[in-house]
Amino acid sequence: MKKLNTKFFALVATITTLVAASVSTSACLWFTYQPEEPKCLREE
Amino acid sequence: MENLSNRIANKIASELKLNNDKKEVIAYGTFALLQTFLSIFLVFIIGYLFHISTEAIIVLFTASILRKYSGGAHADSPGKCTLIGVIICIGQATLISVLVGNFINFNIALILVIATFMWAYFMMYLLAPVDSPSKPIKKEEKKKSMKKRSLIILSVYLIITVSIIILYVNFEKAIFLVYALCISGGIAWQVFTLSKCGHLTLRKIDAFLNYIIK
Repeated sequence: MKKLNTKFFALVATITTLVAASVSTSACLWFTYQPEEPKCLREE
Repeated sequence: MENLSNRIANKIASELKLNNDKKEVIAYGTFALLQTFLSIFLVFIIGYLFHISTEAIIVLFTASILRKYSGGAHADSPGKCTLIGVIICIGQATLISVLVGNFINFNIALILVIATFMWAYFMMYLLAPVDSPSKPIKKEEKKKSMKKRSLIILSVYLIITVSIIILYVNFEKAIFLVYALCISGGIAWQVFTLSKCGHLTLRKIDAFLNYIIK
């Protein structure tokens, strides 16, 4: 069960990281709200 | 919604023993997914109640996809953003559905579509991308790339709209005019949020919603 949980969390982490990376290449998230972008995704 | 995203990210980070940077990225991605799905779900459900779900979804996707590269004015909270999005999409879809056939004929629709695209190309060329303090765009190359992508997306919309108008000319079904105008409506709203007037309007709506909530 614990192993299954870890796999599930790893899958969610992968999907959300991919989404975050895709959003970081655009000018805006989706509609009219833009949360603070994580520092490690910001271009300096 | 930000709290929920942070709680999900905390849980995942503690289970997988991830560092703070990775946790922030997961929270950001989770928030993006929740915000996107919630706005699509609400627009679809409310649109379904008014029998305009397809039209409202067309307005939502047209504005949102274009917004990803052109940016624009922002609301100060995700709840207000979703509310404004739902009102704009449902409002425009309802208005267009009611007006087509009663007040808007093919000639007026054609003029509206042409005027919207001319205004949109001009404004995109002049202003896009419009960044925000939460997500500044600093590099000149990135700005140029975003402007180019915005203009490409606008051109794709133009091709889709022309195809829909050709379908209307061949089959004379009013729904095609409605769809073409919904695409124009989504573009018009997005272009409006690029302008100073759009920023001012969103600030006023924010203040008004704050006043109601208090």
